[in-house]
Amino acid sequence: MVKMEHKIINREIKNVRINLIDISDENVRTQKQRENLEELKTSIQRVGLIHPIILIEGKNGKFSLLVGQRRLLAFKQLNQSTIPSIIINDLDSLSRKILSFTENIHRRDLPYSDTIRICDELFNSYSGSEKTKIDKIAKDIGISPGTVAKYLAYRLVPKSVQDMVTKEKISRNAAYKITTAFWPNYEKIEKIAKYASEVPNASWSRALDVGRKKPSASADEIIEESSSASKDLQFSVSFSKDTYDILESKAKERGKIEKRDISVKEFILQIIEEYLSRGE
Amino acid sequence: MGNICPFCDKEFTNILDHISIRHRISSIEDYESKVKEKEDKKIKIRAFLEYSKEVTERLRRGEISPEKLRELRDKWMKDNHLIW
Repeated sequence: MVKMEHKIINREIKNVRINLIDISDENVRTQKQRENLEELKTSIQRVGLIHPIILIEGKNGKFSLLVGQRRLLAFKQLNQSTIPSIIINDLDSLSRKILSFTENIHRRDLPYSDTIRICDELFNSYSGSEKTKIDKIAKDIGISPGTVAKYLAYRLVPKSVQDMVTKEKISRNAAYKITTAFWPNYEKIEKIAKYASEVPNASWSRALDVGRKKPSASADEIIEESSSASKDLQFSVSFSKDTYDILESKAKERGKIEKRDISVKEFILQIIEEYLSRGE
Repeated sequence: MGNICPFCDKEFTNILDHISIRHRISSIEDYESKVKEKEDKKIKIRAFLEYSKEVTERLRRGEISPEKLRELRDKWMKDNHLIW
């Protein structure tokens, strides 16, 4: 058996000309390269590049990018000619993939509670209109204004539910949706959030629907109805692009009426339920 | 049920987004205290309108002058900390 060695032996940090860098086949990031790129660019403009990208020196003075596709893309879009890089010794293909994967898997979303706290503190400290303050916070901490606004809204999520997000018992989006749906009833929010931590997404989404239809129902009644009243049936349907576009546009129209986002999936579920409730 | 803000009576898409930014509310305690403040003000305004009706009636009966009416209304507002 061949003993695999994934360790980096040699490393050297230097500024490398961007036009000499090619993306390695072993770079594991194949999607979302452009996600939140504006935030990364803002951060680079503000504080510079905190973590250099990782390259392997190839033949003819060219370099192969192993880790840091988004950072490289951001530098390109910022019209930079060089980028701080760590040049490592050549590795076998598997080691390259492992290194790239390990680097990427350790990435985390913005720390939930810390980001809420800093946005709150800055929002209360800065002066000017709401928009001015949000733009300034966004610039200062290197995230988009939309993300700042979201974190300001997250302040209203009950602390106990924020803790559940920090402990990864529920997603931040679930906490936000549940708090929105049952605001300002903290007791209901906390109970439904606890329920959400124990069941699949579809179940707690149903609880939101039940809550919307029966605003006076207690949390226990909502949970009981959403967990007993429906049965999951999973199947896939292929639509032509034209049909899908129509469904998407109808879902958007309904979303406007209900003043919330309605996915195509939810819209289809609604029209099935409406059809069945018409009776004979 | 329409999505109307309890503070500014404007329509909103998402209550958390709206009140956290537009009304700078950062917690449930903050929300409840602002709701109470708003309720208290409504009660005060109703009481003031009642009082105002009463003193206007006294003016009509010739018991007080228009200056006295203004003075009484201002005094009521000051005593009850009502800022219009």
